[in-house]
Amino acid sequence: MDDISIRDYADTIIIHCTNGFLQLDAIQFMDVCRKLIPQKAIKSIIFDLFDITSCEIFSAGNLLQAVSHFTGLNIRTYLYQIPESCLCILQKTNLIDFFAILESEEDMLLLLPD
Amino acid sequence: MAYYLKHYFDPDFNYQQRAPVSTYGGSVAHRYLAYVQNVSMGQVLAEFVPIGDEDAPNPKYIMERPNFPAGPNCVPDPENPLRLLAEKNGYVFYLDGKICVKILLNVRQNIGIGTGNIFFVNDLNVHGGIHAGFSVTAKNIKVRDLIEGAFVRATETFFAQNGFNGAGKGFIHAGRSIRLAFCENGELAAKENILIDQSCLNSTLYGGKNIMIKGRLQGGTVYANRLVVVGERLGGNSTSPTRIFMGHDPFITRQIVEWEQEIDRLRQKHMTYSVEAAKGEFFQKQYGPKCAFILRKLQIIGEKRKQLWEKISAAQDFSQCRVAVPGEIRPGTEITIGPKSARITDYFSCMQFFLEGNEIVMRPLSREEATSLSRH
Repeated sequence: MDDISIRDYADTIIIHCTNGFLQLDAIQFMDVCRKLIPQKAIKSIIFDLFDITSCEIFSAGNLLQAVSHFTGLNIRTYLYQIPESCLCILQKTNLIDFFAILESEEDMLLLLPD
Repeated sequence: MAYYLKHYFDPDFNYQQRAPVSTYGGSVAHRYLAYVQNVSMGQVLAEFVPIGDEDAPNPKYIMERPNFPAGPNCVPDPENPLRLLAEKNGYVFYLDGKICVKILLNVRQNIGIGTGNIFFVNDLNVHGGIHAGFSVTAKNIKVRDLIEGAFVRATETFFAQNGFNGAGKGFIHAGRSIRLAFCENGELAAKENILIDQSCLNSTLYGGKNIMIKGRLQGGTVYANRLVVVGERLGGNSTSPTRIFMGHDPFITRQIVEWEQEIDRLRQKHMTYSVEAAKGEFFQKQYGPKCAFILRKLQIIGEKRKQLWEKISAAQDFSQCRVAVPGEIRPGTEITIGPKSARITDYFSCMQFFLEGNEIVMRPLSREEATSLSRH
């Protein structure tokens, strides 16, 4: 799990993912998230996808699977710093409809608890 | 050479054997039952790997030849024939020994404590209703029974044969259109049209294009940008004022309303923290940074709100805004088109309202128009 760093605020989790994240086994990842997330009353998760390259974005599927578990808990899910190329692929598969995209760091600030 | 079929989903998943997930802290997430295994187009479902690569291979998936048990909507990866991909967004499961991806999810019961919240990447058909407090997200959603205080997001269209009782907190949002039998104490937001076959009571409606209510529109607020038709009766009594706002993008308006609520909340919190911080140095250390953070948030929101107002002022077109009521209109109703507002002070019937020059005018509907609107 070295590919994921998690910044934890009161009710918001920022998951910073590098390339490796999307290559992880989806089930493994979900398992970690399942254990990690519900222990607090988390309201938002921000996936900071700064380093993600387009070739892995298929794995948006993996991401989405994980996210589906999060949303199952009524958690709002955001994508941040997503590269243009990944954005295109997400749009192509209509997955984009299921996320909220954060456009700037200020958007991210607003999601953090007071 | 023997191969092992490695799955990237749970091959033994059975939606009928759901259980709440226990968490790290020992509590249980009762509304999360993992009803469905989503997969997206292009996602790897399974892969043949040399048998030695697996730590604890399940004998069921050891094969002499790499032939995938592929069912509908599964294709081998053109770049790597040892991988099986999903051809469409949907849910994956084993059916008669084959890996299948289905694009329509049928939930043959109520969505509630028995199913948990549902998040699905394609179309969803709910054969029952949706219970209060549960959330459902999918592409196109059809619901047969009553929706009670639930949180529904359809990225395209939403259709309910029965109605929606929002209980003051529930909402239905759709990327395109919404159609349902009735709406009570809820919020509906559709980027295109909203059609309500019966009445709409004390609700908030946001329609990017047209809104049609065949029965009564009584109480609540309607934001729309083109045509609002109320078939039977517009307005109720003084205890439930009915307001219609037209001419501005309803979704920008909604965002502005949300920012304003957030500003109020932050100001109150800032006031509380400031009082605490003023109690002494110890408290200052604790609450000072919090106050500064809230002020930063207020600044960001203030700028965003200003940008939205500029956007809203730049795109003003009131020519298509019209409220048509083939039925009865009751006093107390407020109609706002762009910068102008009018309050109905008497009983009328079969009228239309639109902006002419700089005033909101009320004209009788012609018989043909009234008949045509009533027929729809």
